[in-house]
Amino acid sequence: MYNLSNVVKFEIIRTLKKPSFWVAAILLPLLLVGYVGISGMMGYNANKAIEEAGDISGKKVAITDDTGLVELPKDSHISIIKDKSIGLSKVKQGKIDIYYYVPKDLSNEHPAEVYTNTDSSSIFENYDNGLRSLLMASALGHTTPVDALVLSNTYQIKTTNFDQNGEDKNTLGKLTIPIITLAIFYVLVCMFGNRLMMSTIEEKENRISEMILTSIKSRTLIIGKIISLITLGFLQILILSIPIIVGYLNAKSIAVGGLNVGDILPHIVFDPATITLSVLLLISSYILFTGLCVTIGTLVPSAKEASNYMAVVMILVILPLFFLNSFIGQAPDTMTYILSYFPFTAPISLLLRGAFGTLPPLDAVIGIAIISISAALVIALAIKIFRSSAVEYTSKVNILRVLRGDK
Amino acid sequence: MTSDAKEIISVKNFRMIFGDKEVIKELSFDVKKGEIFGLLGSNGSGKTTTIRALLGLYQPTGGELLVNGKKFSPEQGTVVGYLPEERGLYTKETVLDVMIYFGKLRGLANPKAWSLKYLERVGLVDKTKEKIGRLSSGQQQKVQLGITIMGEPKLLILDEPTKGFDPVNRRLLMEIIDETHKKGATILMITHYMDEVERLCDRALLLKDGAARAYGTIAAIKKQFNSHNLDDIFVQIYGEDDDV
Repeated sequence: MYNLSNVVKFEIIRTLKKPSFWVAAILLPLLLVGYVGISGMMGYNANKAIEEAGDISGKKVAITDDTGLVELPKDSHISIIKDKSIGLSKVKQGKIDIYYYVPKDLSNEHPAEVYTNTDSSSIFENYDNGLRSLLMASALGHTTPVDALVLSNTYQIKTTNFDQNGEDKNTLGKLTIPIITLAIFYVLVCMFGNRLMMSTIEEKENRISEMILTSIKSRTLIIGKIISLITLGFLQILILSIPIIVGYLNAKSIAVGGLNVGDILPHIVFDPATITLSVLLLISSYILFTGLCVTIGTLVPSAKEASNYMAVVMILVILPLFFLNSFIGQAPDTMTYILSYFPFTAPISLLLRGAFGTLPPLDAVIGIAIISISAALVIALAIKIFRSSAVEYTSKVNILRVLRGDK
Repeated sequence: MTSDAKEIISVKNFRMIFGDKEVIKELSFDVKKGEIFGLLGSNGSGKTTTIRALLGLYQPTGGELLVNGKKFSPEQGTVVGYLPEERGLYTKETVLDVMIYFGKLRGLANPKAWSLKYLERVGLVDKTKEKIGRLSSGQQQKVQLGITIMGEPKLLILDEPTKGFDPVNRRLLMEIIDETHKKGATILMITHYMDEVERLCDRALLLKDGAARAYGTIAAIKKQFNSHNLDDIFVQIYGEDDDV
């Protein structure tokens, strides 16, 4: 295609020169790292504040135990008071800071009681845990080690699911690639949706169409723009993946939600068939989405009007999320097939099914074929509309007229 | 028809219908190689539509529009230089980047050198790294003009070329038209200024409501309307229109 490389080069270089591209590319990983760091730090600070607010060390603590269960450690600074009324009197007078009372018939109806008289004004001031720990330690002292583990709920469970061949299913490891694919698509849609839409409006809004279309064909311009947008999208994903790669290399020291990433990574399955289908699904879906946005861009005369249509695209992207139940079950229902094979909802539906492990290879292949054909048709439509409406600088394009070949 | 033909533009039985309105009715004319041709008419008479159809921006309803013996295709590169009525450029890009881009699209061997030489000539060499949106409208016109004449086109199509041009740029444009013409280029210009037509054009076509009202050499048109003044002829043809 004559001049295609010039269009692609121009579009890519001018985007790379824009600070907004790099801000978007670098800001998201920075925000992610910042969010994890700040939330971790805030969580640590909050826990520390709560711990400090409930810390009984350095305080005068006394207990009345009518059950006879409590066994105080030898080095404990908690004193024993025989009578509850004395304990209450002392805490009211400020002679002790914290007073615990454990009734003989401890139950939900007869709870343990905590009385305090401290100079703390913290909203987190709560000394229940001190008493709970004391009671737990005392109760465990009367049981076997195994009973102690069971009662304290601190034991581990290791689950292994076998497949029909008697081999470890390793579901999470097998679904990691489809899950990453789904995440990449969402990032591309969220970060690039607007840019895709604006890409063809610029020529109309700035009245460049006539000058450019006497130098290159509309097909070359549109395809060149689409290639450059796809390239830029994946370049941005590459930049985004740098912190992930760094994380991968240092996985042993990273823990997410109580899971050690280093323990998960060896189980990720790099199955060529899954990778191929996931990559094809991602690429065809992104091309379809790009074509859809570019088509909308060719229909409207200004960026302002284009933004109204962006909502329609986002609804199509989000719609399958309202039918998650249709994708979770192993037996697909009618809605599963409608959403999976309707071109504009197919990308997210198939990516979700892939991530949930409910997408058979045949369904994936049919879906990819539908999405690819739709992408080609949508791009052809964008070219036709742009060719017919490139000099419609102020009015919206009537798509039916374009399809009929009317002016 | 081959490129050896005398005509560089050939329009035969051109018809154009927008919706239910026929805006061009069986229009036929040609532009000979090396001449300066005026396409004249009131607003809405079909001049810009004719040019857009000639350059493939509109699909004609009927007829044949040829440039150098063929339907126009951008692949013809530097054959045609077109300054449209609606003018604009990539406002967020720098002057040199845009000129180099268009230079590459038009097949120039060294677009950077060509652009720098042109920018030096029109006094914009210190603006090469300036974004086009930051230039004055007069400076932007110079850039657009540069893009139009890139690669010494054999046919210059200028749609109201002096519209919006300040006197300095108008003189520059006239110099460039003159230079390009002397190098053998054909010029088709749409204009409302009859003095420009009389001074520059060899032949002209006067359109009214999508049909030719007069076509031929300037002298023949004057003779046809029995007048020595093109302004009078224009008023005679379009005087009853509201939108002249």
